[in-house]
Amino acid sequence: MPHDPYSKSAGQSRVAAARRLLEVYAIGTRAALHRQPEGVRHTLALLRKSLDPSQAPDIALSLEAIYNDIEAALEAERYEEVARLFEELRGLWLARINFEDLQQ
Amino acid sequence: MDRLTTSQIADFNNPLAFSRPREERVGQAQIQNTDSGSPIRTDDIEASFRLVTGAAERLETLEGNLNTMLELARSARFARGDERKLQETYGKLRSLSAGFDQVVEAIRFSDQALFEGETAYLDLGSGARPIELDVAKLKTYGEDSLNLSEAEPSARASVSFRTEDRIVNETYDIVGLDIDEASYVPGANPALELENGTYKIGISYAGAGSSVEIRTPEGAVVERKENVDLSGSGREWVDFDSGVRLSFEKENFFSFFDKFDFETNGPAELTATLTYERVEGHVLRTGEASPEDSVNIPFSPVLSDASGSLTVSDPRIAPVDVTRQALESGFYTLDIEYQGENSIARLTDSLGRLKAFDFAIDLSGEGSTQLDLGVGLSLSINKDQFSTEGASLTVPIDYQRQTPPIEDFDFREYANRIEEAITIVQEQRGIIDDASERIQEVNQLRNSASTSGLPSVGALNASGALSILSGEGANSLFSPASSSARLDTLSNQLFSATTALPVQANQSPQELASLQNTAATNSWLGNFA
Repeated sequence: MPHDPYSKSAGQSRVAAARRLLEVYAIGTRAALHRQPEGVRHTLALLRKSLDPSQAPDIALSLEAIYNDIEAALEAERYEEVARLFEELRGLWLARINFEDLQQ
Repeated sequence: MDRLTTSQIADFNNPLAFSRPREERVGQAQIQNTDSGSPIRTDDIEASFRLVTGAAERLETLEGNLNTMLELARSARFARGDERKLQETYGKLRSLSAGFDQVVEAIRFSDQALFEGETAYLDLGSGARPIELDVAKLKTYGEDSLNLSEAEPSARASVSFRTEDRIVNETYDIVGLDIDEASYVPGANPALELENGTYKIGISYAGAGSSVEIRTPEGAVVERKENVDLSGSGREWVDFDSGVRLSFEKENFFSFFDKFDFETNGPAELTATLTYERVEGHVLRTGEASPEDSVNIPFSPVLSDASGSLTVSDPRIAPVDVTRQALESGFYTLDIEYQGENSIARLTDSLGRLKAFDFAIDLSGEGSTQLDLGVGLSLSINKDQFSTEGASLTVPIDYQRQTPPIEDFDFREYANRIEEAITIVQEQRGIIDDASERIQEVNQLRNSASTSGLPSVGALNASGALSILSGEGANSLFSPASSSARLDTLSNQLFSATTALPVQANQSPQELASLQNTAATNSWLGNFA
């Protein structure tokens, strides 16, 4: 229903949330490429804080495991791996967002 | 699991494979285990939710592992008579069950293993009673466990020659003497068991009257064995009461003296380094454990003549010579034909088949003579003024060896045990799921009653569910291989879930702005500003 103002608002909210998520990953990638551990930690902290497993526990657990990998790579100063993981996560979410757009 | 090669099968079935480190002395383990410490308690509802979410994930993995084991155990039905296939299946089951224990051990909360059979208390915040979670003991071994394996005290012992040993040993020009292995002997005196660490072996070589001792690195004697016969050729085993067996290989090359002229120069003082590590063997066994090794003479006959007598005594289980086949359990008959310095011993089984012999036993002297037939049996022949050549002494011997667990392993019974274990794990999953639902109910009730309207109280955050149960670090057989594998899993999950974005796309504009601000302050925001 294109004229339903609630639906339109909800859609805009979803798009805005998706954009913010993609930007968080992009900032994480950039921080890793600039070898800024504090930036990577800040990004990870925000991602973990905003993780809501009650929606889909399996996805939340997988994401948490990958964030642990990123943290381990950061501790070992493997910044390229950190950047790659952020970029791959961003790519997966982008694909999922496009997939949802197609379904709508 | 892929098909194993012959050498892999041998490795998987090595008694010391998959063994676990052991801190306590033999027999002390159970006393220690009863001291369970304080129960697991979470501090808040969020930690409780993380714990149950992580535990549910791990239990799913464990159930999957048990199902793999069940398939394997059932597949053995089709391998009857195929010894190699049975050994391969047994080896795989050993590997998988040991991996299972590693996963269970790695599921920890506040550095305490969760699935240890203790009640865990999950906090639900103020106003609600904590959940008492009855957690089962999910290890495959021990009391009240899944009963899929047994833990047997054992040890790794090895001998090496370090630089300091070589320097000492080279001062004596001794030829034809070597320690080729050290091993653990079950049934030794547990109170004397060595601690983990390195020791020095001191050998005072004086032919048949040599002595061997174990010393601490500081030089204190731990145990000493006198009158060790290191003369001549062959093999000599020295068993210490502390549970260490040393195997000497000896070869006499010279006619003037035996290995070293100790009669002229005094005993040769040689050294080697012994490394001892207490471990707990991982044994898969069905049915009762076979009896311990034993050998006895049901009745002791005496061969007498006018001047004296000939008897045997002190029958013992002995190491088996590498070139000989070990005796099986059963009743044997030992015939000793007295011929002075060329006396003869023949060992036959209950069907009369010759199993071992020695045609040159020197019984010319008085007293006790040690007879080692090289097939796992030794005893003493005692002569007291006996002199009738051609006379024979017949001795019955009851010889029992512990059979390796694989020989009478019943795969069908083991499959039944795995099915029972799966039921226990499924029950645990039910308990954990109930606890998870209860936590979410309490949280929802609290949120609906809340008037603050703050978004942060809306959903429980299970972030860190796996890290709170720190199994991720376990180098187990079952943990996911790599971050690439996890990304693959995530990809599948993202595209099969009906709801995905709300899991992670929850950053508020303010939070993003804060992150961007950090980035801008550190001047690496670049293209994203």
